[in-house]
Amino acid sequence: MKKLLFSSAFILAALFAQAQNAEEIVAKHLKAIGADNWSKVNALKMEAKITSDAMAGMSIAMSSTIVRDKAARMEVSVMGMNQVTALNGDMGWTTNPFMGQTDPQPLTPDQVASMKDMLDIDGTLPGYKDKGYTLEYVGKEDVDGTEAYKIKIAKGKKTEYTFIDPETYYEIKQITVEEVDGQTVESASLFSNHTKTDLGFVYPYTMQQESPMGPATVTITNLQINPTVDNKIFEMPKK
Amino acid sequence: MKRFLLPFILLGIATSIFAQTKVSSSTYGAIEARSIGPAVMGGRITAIEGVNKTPKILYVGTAGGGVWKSTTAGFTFEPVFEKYPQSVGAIAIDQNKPETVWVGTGESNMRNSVSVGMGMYKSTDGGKNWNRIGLENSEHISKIVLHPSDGNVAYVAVPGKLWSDSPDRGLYKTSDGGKTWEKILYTDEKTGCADIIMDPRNPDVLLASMWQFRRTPYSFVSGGPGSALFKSTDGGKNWRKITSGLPEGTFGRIALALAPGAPDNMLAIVESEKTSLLISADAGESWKYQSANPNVTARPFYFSTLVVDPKDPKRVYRPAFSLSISSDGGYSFSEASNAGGWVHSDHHALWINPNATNHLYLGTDGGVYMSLDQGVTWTHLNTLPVSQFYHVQTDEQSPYYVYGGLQDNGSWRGPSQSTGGIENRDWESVGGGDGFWVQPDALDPNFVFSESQGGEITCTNIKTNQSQFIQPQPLQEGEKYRWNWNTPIVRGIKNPGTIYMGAQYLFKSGDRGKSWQRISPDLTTNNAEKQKQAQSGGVTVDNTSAENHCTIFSIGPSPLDENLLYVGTDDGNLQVTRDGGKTWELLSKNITGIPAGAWVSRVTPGRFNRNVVYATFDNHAYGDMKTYAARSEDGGKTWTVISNDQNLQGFAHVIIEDLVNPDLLFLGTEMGLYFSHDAGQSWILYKSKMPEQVAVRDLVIQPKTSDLVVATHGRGIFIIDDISPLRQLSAELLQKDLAMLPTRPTAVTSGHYGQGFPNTDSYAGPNASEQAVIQYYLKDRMATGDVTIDILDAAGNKLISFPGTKRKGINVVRWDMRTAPPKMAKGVLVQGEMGVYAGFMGRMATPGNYKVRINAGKYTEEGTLTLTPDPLQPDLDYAKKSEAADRLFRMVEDLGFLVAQLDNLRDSVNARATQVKDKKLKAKLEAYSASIEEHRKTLTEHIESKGITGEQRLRARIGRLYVYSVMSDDLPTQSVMEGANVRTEELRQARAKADAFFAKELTDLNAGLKKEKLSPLRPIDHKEWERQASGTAGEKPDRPFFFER
Repeated sequence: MKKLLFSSAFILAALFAQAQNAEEIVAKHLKAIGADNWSKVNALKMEAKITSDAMAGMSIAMSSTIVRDKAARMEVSVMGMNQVTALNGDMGWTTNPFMGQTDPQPLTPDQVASMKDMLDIDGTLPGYKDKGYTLEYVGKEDVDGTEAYKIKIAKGKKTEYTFIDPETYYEIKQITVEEVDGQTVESASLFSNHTKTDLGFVYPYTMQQESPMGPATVTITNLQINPTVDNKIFEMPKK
Repeated sequence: MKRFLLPFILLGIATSIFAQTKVSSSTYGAIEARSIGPAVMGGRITAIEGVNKTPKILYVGTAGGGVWKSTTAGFTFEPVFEKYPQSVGAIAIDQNKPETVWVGTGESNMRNSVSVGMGMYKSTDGGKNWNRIGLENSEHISKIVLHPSDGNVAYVAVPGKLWSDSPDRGLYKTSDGGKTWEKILYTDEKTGCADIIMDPRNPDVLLASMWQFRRTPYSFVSGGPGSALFKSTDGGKNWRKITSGLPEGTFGRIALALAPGAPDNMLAIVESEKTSLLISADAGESWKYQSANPNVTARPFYFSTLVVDPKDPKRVYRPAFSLSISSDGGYSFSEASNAGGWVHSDHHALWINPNATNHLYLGTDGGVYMSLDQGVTWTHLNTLPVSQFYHVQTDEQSPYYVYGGLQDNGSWRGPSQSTGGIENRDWESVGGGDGFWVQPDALDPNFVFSESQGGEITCTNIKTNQSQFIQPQPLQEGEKYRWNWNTPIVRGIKNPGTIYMGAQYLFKSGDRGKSWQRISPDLTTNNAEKQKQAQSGGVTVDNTSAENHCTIFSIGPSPLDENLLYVGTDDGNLQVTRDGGKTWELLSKNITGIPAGAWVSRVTPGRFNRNVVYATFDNHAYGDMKTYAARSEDGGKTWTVISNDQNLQGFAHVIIEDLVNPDLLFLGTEMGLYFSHDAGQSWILYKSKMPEQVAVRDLVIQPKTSDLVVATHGRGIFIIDDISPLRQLSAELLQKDLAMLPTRPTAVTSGHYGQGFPNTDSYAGPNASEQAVIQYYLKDRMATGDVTIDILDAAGNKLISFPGTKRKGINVVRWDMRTAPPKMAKGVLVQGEMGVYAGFMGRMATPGNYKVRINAGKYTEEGTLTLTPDPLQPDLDYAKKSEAADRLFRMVEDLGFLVAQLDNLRDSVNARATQVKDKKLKAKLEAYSASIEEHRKTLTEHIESKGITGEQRLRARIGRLYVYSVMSDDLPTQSVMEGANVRTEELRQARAKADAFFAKELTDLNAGLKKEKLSPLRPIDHKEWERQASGTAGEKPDRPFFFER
């Protein structure tokens, strides 16, 4: 019996010793999250609340609507005022009523380019090859106590690092590095509360993001898949 | 197939049975260290390299603080080498692919205190990620030269081990980017490669200097038959020894430089009996002696840098004690820094921007300087916290001060907390020279004992800035006291006010060093063979006290008995006295498993049991880098080695016991900080916001705050705030899915903010958070479900809820001690009007005990959180303060409800107006709506404008009073309370007016609506408003809301 145990341990060790390559890990990840089902998704509407250590006891409502490859609209409500940022094809616009700017203003080309990632409704990894992204396995790194696989994703001007939990193969952290106006901007998000949706793909319902004010938590309160969307909401209002 | 399955299943069961949760580094992930600097003096800089095409990108290598990257020409830096050995010898950037950076670890400025590296590292993404690429046993690397066009070809000069023979020395070459290495030039196990230069026109032409050198604990030799100069013209396949024109006799270290503008012109500083500068005009084939000033030829083993301007072959820089500059190819030199202000002495690195050669970066023993005028004037880039501490101490003040001595940078003290962050200007110098032990007088912190190298102790009065040399002097003819480079000065614990210091004898003073009592015989081996420092240095004599030996190196007074004292020496003796110094007993003979002769780097008597004593041993000066620590439970008769854990790395400097939990120990080695929860049986590396392999030289726990203060030799001081949760991590607790951990009480304050402009041009260390801290343990990371934290008052009423973190191990969540903000009336955020921000601010909690409830999935745990009165407001009447805040809070909400009623009713009336058929009724409805709106507009700010309107309605006028009251730690002013009385009346009138609308007119309108079979209108009630104001987008997606409790 002992001998058997030893030999199987040996086999296991040998299996693990094989270099984990990025493609294999991502393939397992895509399977784990039911990524195939993403093709059934054309639009998403998400309602969420944002809470932050810096403002304990307060939550800010956020909602976002995304139509695959076409348009997106995000709305944040504070004290009865709605701040809107929208992307409609190649043009985007924003309002900032908190600063007295209620008229919509067009986004700069840089801002549009940065936001366009949102239209990739599946996220970075499903279909990464077709999108022209390349992967590189960097090694294991601790994410809140889990030794996660760290994979570098080259997306042209953007670089992403994704961290995959070796047990569930869910993505538990993401770091994005981007050059914006000559400055390197880096942002990190932690994902949890992965929940299987009616359409069969798994979505993280909680996201924690580092911010200069301390960590902010975004909790999804309602996720609508393929909702009816009035395309007018993406158009820049005329005033 | 089946056959294979069974063992797999069994294996699975076996592993799950034995899978017991243990503490690991990530358990402490959220207990983060904060780096408080200082950067005012920097530390030793060993390498500076810039990106030629983008010279605002710089990499700086340090003696013990890793690699720092600047993308802002040196105005800001970021550490990029946090997981690797912090001692850096050389950096090279692939200028064709500047994201590729090579780093050789282990500096080669071979002074006594030099650290060690672990080989070569390479990044291909600008320093974000690194791979170790070989030469693991090199310990020291002096230079990396890259082929100018083939990024896979690199030459690495490896002087190799300082303290022992080693075959891993010599010049190495890789042709495949670091996958494989070939040793292409080797002399013997005593001789390494010190320098290499390459002809940029023909990269196969190489000149390399070989160097024989060795340290022992008591001597240093630079030079020997191995030292020589070699040339290759075929990329290192074949080498010729160069002798033409070089001095006679034995060489020491040779520094080389080449003029990139005219590469046949080379320079060399050759250490020999007559160390000199030599120049060659034929690519190193033959050399000519040049006269040079003493700075050019100074301490060649330590100053090995020589740089020629990238464009002007005549302009030569020699960084050494100071910076010497030649503008005639090395014929004559002048001193640069004399005219342009003070620059820290001892220079080891210089980078010249090749596009603008006026632009220089100089690396010194005190940080990086930049010049824009070829070295005439310099500015210190003081954002690099790379100070090299030897020891640390704290005092009892609040906030407490941190004291310590630094390599080449004297002795300093700085506060643990300072308004706006702990900035360079918060640090005060308390002694000069090299600094080591610093002790504030335990009875009066205005007096500080510090020292420079070789036991040159002074007592300084910080108030008057007067200081006095107080070293005990020999009293017998011909007697000499032997003081270690790093002489221990230690305070009595049971007898505060007493200080001890040790030469070969132990001395004690009870009057701040005015008189000393010798309380021991010679406690060392007193080996005459190890006391020949006057002959030390090799071909250049170098007797700086750095090699003083057979001296006392550590003193451990018992916290339980002032007559119980342990003393450790640098030659392996561990001694004890149990009668205050009358008799001594040698204990080191009782220890097995520790090499004889190893330095007793620290001896720490137990604070819970007088028979317990811990000691660390450092054998690196004999070439042995292993960690050694031992524990005795019988006063030193028998010892158990407690350093066999495979997690440990680096020679040991210090071990201390926790102040509360006898099983909790802290160990500092050359390669990190380690915690033990089982009295030393196992050790865990601590790495939360601290470099993983940094030299930890000293540790102290501040008793009032339970902060662990860490002295590093290269990254300054780190403070790990409040280690009390670590005290609870028992094996039993670790098996719980969720457990509350205690925290120290927090003083109620809304925070202390700096006056003046924010610090932008120097390092500022973060303060400890002034918020209340909630800590809990999770056995596993919460993958599903959320963590929420409820704060309840003593009666069990929930005051506030917020999300918690979900990490495996200890979680740390902060609470600003405010309860939920008021639900404020809707309106415009008027710029500059603070009253409109009332809806963002909760009331401060009052001092007292609170219940904390952690809800993590299916688990719930409760604990207590104690808030204490603000020590800065000792007489504050908190009941009165919160009564005032409550009143103003209610006023804000009362108006919020009123405005919401008006808003809602107006909208409903407008809707009805579009539905009714009767034109008269429609007109009435419209008029009614207009009058509601008119009233509303008097109550809340509504003018939408891009400008600054200065609009102020009742909402802002009430809000202002509320904001004033909750932003201050004091009682509201009389004016605020008088204002509250007036606003109360205004609010009453506003309510009366609205109620009048709701009563008479509405009844009439509803009668009209009834006729048209439309449902009647009514203002929302308080409950409806609360629901509306608390709704999230998810519940009421079409209805924007305010804030949720």
